[in-house]
Order: sequence, then C-alpha cells, then structure tokens
Amino acid sequence: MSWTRRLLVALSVVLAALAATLLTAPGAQAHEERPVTFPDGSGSVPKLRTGEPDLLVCKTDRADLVRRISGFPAALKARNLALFDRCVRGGHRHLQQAVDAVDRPGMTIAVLPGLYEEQPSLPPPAGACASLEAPTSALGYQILSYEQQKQCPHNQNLVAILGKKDLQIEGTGASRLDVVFDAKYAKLNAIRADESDGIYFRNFTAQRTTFNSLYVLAGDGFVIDDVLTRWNDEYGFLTFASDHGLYKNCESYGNGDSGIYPGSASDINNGRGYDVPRYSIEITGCRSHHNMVGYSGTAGDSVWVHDNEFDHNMGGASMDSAFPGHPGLPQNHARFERNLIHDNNQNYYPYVADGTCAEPPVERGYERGVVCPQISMPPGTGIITAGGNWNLYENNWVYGHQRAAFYLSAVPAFVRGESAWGKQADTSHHNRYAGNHLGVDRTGTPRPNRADVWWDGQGGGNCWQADAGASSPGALPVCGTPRGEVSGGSDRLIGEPVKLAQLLVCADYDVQARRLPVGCDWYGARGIQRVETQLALAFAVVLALVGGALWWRRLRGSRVAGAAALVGLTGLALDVAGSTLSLASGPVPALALVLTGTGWTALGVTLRAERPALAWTTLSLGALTLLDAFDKAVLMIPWTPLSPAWLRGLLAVVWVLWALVASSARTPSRPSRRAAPAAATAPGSAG
Amino acid sequence: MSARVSARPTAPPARGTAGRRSGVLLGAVLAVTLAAGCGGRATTHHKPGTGHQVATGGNGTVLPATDEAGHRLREVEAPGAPAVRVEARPDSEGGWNIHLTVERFRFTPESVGGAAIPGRGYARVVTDGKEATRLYGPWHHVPPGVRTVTVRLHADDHTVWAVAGRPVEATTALGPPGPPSPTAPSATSTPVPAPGRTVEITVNGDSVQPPPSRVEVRKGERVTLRVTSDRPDTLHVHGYDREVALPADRPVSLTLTADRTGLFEVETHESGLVLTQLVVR
Repeated sequence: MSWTRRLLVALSVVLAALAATLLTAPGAQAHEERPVTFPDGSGSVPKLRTGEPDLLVCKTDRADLVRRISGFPAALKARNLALFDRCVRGGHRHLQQAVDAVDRPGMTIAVLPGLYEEQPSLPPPAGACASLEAPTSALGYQILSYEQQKQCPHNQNLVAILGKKDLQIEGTGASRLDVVFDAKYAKLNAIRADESDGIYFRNFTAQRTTFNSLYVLAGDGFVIDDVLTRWNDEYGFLTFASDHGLYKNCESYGNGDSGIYPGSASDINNGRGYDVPRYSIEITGCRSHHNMVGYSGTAGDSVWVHDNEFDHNMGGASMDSAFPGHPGLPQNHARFERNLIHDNNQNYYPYVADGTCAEPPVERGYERGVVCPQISMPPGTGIITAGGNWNLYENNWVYGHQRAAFYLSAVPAFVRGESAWGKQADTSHHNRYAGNHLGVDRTGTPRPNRADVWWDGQGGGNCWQADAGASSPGALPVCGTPRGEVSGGSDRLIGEPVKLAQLLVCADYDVQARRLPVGCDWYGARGIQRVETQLALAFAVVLALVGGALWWRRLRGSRVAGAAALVGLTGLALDVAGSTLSLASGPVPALALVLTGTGWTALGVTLRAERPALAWTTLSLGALTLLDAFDKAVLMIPWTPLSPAWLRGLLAVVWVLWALVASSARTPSRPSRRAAPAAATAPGSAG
Repeated sequence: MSARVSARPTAPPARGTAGRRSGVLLGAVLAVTLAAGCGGRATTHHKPGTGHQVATGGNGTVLPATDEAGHRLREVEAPGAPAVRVEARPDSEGGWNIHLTVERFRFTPESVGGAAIPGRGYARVVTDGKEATRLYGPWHHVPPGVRTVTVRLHADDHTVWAVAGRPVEATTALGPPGPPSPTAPSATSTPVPAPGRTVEITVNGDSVQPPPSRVEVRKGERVTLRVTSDRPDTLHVHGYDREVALPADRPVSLTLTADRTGLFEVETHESGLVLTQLVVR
C-alpha cells in the first residue's frame, strides 16, 4: 500500500472504525437461519432417563457388533448383546427411522455401537424438495422455514428431529466414539433438533458436515452430554435461540468457526446488573480445541461457562454483537469461571492463502488438522469480546498466548442493523475481568501471555484485575473486590484511533478471494509491514519535517528550541519503536508521548514571543500529548467521551498546516502570500 | 502513539490556500471512505467464508465378497480408484524395509472408524498369508524370515477398496527364494524347528548377492550359510573360526549353532569379500 493511501486510511479513522467493526468479528457468527424468537422460558433442563429404551437402532452384522464391544466391561457387553438381540428383531437400522417412530413425548432411543451413515437420508433433494421456494443465504444454502424443514427433512439434515418433545437419544457404547454418525460432508447438519423441547443427547459422535454437526434450534430444554463433534465447515455444536440448555463433558475440534456456539442463548437477564436469578445455558466439563475459536457466542447471552478447557485454537473463546439477525443483541451476561484457556496460538490462515480452503469441504483435509477460518480474528488470544456487556470473567486460568489473554472492543449498533443514534455506543460496558490466573498454569508454572489485556478503550464500567501484566493501554480501570466496584473508570464513546485503523485494515479479509490483509499482524505482518508501525512512521516523518522546518526557519538561534526539537525527535523515534508488536504493550508508547509532548511544550515556549497564537497551539498540543501519556500510563481519564489521542490528532492537523505556513513565511512578523504554494507541496513531499 | 489526524473535515486554519486545499482533500477522503467502507454492508452477515458445497459423489458399492479375514470389499470404478505399489529393501540389521507408493489415496488415521470416503483409509500388511498389521503411512519393517508381503488398501470403515471384484493390493517376494519351499509361501507360515535359518549367498566376481547386510540371529539358533561362488575360494566365519572350501559354481552349505553373542563377519579368503555379518543376540 502506498504512503498516500496509508495516509488516507489514517485520515479516515473515524469512519474506518465503523467500517472495520462491520467486517471484523473477532468471534464466530456465520449463521443465517429463518427468523426465530426465544422460547418462552417455561421449560426446564431435561434429566437423564436410565430405564430401558423405547426404540433401538443397530446394524444387523452380529460379528461386527461383537468385534466392537469385545473390549467392553462384561456387564456393558452383556447389555449390548441383549439390546442387539432385541434390536435385530424389532429395532431400526437408521436413527432417522427411530426418530420417525417416536409418537409421544418422553421416549428414549438407544443406538448400539456402530457406524451410522443414514443412507436413506443421503440422496440429494428430488421432486418438490429440489425446487423449494426459499431465500438463499449469503453462505450459499437455502433458508428454509420450519414447514419446509418438515416437508423436506433431508435437504439439509442427515437426521432431522422436528417437533419431538422430551426425546432422549443415547449411544450404548463404552465411549462416545463407539457410536458414530458420519455425514461425510454430504449435508449441512448431521443432527438437527428443531423446536424439540427437552431433547437429551448422550454418548455419541457426530462428524463431517458442511455446517454443523449437532444443531439445536429454538428449543426450551436440552442437554448435550458426553458427545463429540468434529470436522465441520463452521461449528461442532450450535444451539440457537434456546433456553434451559446444558452442555457437559463434550468435546469438539476441527471446526472452521467454533467448537461450541451457544448463539442467541435466551436473553433472560437483559436490564439486570451482575446479580442474576439464573442462566439460560450452562456449559461445563467440555474441551474445545483446534478450531478457529473454541467457544463463540454472537448474542451468547446469559451463558454460564465453567470448568471447561479451550486450548490450541486460534482464539480460546469469543462473544460479540457484530451480526444482525440474532435475537438478544447486544450480547450480555456471559459468565466464565474456572476455565482453562491456554495456548490458543494456532494459525490456520495459511490454509486460506495456499488454496486448501478453496477446495470442496470433502477435499480440504479437516481430518488431518486443516481448519479453514471463516472470518478475521486475532490469533493468539484467550478471550475476545467484541461488543458485549455485563460479562464476568473470573477465576479462569489464561496462559500461554502469543497475543493477549483478554481482548475487548466495542461494536456500534448499526453493525447489527440498529440505526438509532442512542444505541450506537451501547456495547462494551461493565465487563469484569477479576481474580483470573494470568500467565500461570494450574500447577503455578509460569506460562506468560505476551500481553494480558488489549482494549480499544471504549465503554464504561469495564475493569481488570490489578495484577494484570502487560496491557494496551498501559493504565486500566481496576476492579474492586465486590462486583460493580471500579476504580479509575472510563466513559469513552469511541476507541483509540490507531487501534481502530488497525481493525479496518485487518477486516479486509476474504476467504473466497484468498485475501489476507498485508498490513495486519493477525495474518503474519511484522515490523514495518504492520499498519500501526506504518502510521507511526508516516506521522513521525511528517512531524519531524514540519517541526524541523519550523525550527530551522524560526528558532535556529534558540538553544532551548534546539533541545526541544531533539527531545521531540527522540519521542517520535520511540513512538515508531513503541508501535511494534513486541513493545506496544509495554512502557515505550507512553514514554514516547512524554518526550514528544515535552518537545512540543518547549517549542511552544520558545515560540511565544515571535508567534503567540502558534505558540499557544503548540503548547496545547504538547499538553494534550502529555495528557495522552498520563491517560495511557497512569490513569485513564474519566468522564471524557474521547481520549486525548483524538483531540491531539485533530489539533495536530491544524498545527502541521499552521507550522508549515509559519516556517515558509519570509519574515517572522509578516507572512507572505507567496508562502502558500510552498506549504501546499510540503506535505506531499513529506508523505 | 496514536494517529494525529482525524477524518472529521476540520475547519482549516484560515491562513493561505494550503489550509483550504487540505480541507477539500479531507472532505474528498471522507466521501470516498463513506462510499467504499459502508456501502451496502450493514445488513449482511460476514463475507460468505469458505464454500459449503456438499459432497455428492458416492463411496462405491459394498460387495458380498470378503477378503480372507472377513472384510467386505468395496467396489469402485477403475478410473479414479486408489492404487498401491510396494518395494522392499533389505535392512542393515536384518529383515526388510517395505515402502508403499500410493496413488489417489491418503492415509487417514484420524478418521478411521468413520465412513468410507473415496481415496482415504489405511493399508493392511499381510505377511506370508497372515494379517500382520495396519499401516497409516508408507513405511514398515518386516522381520527376517518373511517371504512375501502383500499390502492392501482399506477404507476408514475397514472395507477393502476393490476394482472389478479384486482388492486393491500389491505383493512382493522378499529375498532369494530358498528351500524348502520357495514357491509356496503358505508353507512357510508354519514354524520350522530345524535346521534353523538358511542364508543364501551368491558370489559373482566382486559382486555379492544379496548385497552384504546383517543377519539377525538369536543365541542358540542354528544358521545355515549356503554359498555359491563362481570361482574356487574358502568360506570363513570369523569368531566361530569355521571354514569350508568353495568349489566353483557349486553351492556349499555351512551350518553352525550361534552359541556366542556378538557381530561376526562371513568372508571369502581368496577374494577377500565380506558376504554378510551375523548379529547374534
């Protein structure tokens, strides 16, 4: 990208910010579905039934079954043999047949060890089902109504459970790998439970779809218990617009978006503070690894996520308000406790660059570890929150991340399709990060994160624990012991300008065009390649040239001015250094501001006699720069809608032009009109 | 440090034309950014991401036929069917390293147990007619004494990939055929107690066949060296100090009981060739 273009980008950061958040979703939300509303919440979390099953599913090859159960404990082996005899006589060969045979609420289907390909469901749509009238999603599939799903259950689903109440489906093997439902990438969903309140899934594996393996939609009451999902274009588990849900002891890996996605969980605590009567979905004992993100939740509202492990993804967990069409936005009231979130440093973007992800899903090689990241996100991050409120992150272990443990940014409301002015700054408030074990594993061994916090600076009531390590910004609002207590709060309506510029550049990601933004370190840019460093360098050059010209033409005789110019120059050089990935979260950026601010202040003092107006502008600029340093390093200044960086930036534009005019004028006291052309060409040569 | 400029079209300082021009420039940038950055995207989901094309191809037809171990055959069309070749190289410490070359096939250990997907799975190694092991990669070692190796390609669901009703497989014989039954591999699958192992060696000028390598022998095992030389010579086993005269072009056997452990060279005295090394453990 040329310098000119880079400058244009910089000049447009405000709009850039808006555009950036449009496209940037450090989370996972590629989900288009028919319009759905939340259940009324009158249901409950179903309980496991341990009695004899009502319906049985098995294959008829006895030798195969005997081989499969040969290593089982004797009692389980005997039970499976007994169930097999019963199943061969009166059971079903495919799960769908058993589901279709469910004729009353509260039935249990037991599936015997085996591989289930559901062959009758596999043929592509034919007849009327091949020509359904329905809108096509941006992702290429039809968005079918519930009636259309009923009419053509296998257009998109290997197994469709539609409107069955309190159904339990369980594998009878010794482990969840003993019963495998394999969609072979021939369907969007392996198992879909739609408007099926009280569904209980237990002890099986579902795999290889072009969207998600296990899908619960609009259900009031569900349990996912000891289930494995893997190798999907988007999600392992997707539960959407649902309430009274429980995930436990589950596992998911190899998903292009997230392993676990409780999207649009019932928004039952909107309007409340931290104290809530209940959560809509509980997730515990699960492991999600080797995905783009382990957990994601666009509108993941009131989800209680505790005692899980999210590791070796690109990002451990994320939640956001970045996409329209999800009931319950903006996202709020997720609670993360005692989770192990570590080593989420995978980088799967090379698979996009080298064309692997342009192959059809069946050819991509998900089984050997390929993941095709669906959206742009910052790899190397523990928990990402892009536009969330009242989230609690407490007592988690977050370690071993090459970028940051916690990543918080705001998302304006129009991004999710709401245009009311009053809502544009309604995200990124009251998120509390307290009592976490940062940079150490559970045994206490140090496993540092490169930074513990990255925050764009927007929003009020957010706080972090006092012992957080390296962070950007350096000074963070600190959580008090009781929830809700914050010292050094902030009230920014918009984030830091350079961070927003970075988001803009990083958002220019396109899987299908195989476009990875070159200026963004999420995709491997380092050093001068990074947009932050390019911006810092561009402005350092402009300011050094303009400041230098001013000193040479007007202040050469003054020793103080010479010293000021040197200090300022050092500050600018440090500013460039401090913009690099390795120094951005340390003290260097603030130190650079102090030096630059000092230089400007001294320059302003020496200018007073000759050009009082310019002098006062320069002094103001110096003061704002020092204030910015204070804001970033000591205490974030409360009750201000914009950070000093914005004001400093605005004033710097004025100052650069003014200083150019002043330094090009022939005499100090009488600026000539002919100075103007010289001034007009100067920025071009500088940039 | 943060950017020092803003996208807002700031009122330029009212001095000279440079300020006004900059103001115009800022305004233009603003307009361009508005058009480029926000046009039509607010109501869409993220960019479409990867394609979500569902797989429509089949995965062959399961035949009633099975291989000898009871695995059903899975018939696929010959064009596009997987293929395998196998070659064997003697190992310096005994036995053979076999190498599989597969086409239109990849090893998928992660998904074994799942459904058959064309071109995926594993190889099964059959040595002297008996299933030996499963392979998830191209290399394998077979111990000394094995006479034939067959490798057969299986799908993840353990069916055997087959073309025209025959398994996709390759077979190779290992080493020179030796008595007692070089042409009947099945006969060698039963253990032969005595006279123990026979090592066949042929000397032609300076060339030794098979090329000199190591023969692994268990302590106490009987070993017969059966050597044919194209000229008169003397066969000598170091360490055991056993010698026997080699007439030209007539096989001569030297049998010994490997009762001492160590590494012992077998050589010819006249031509000074090392024929093999016995490793007795």
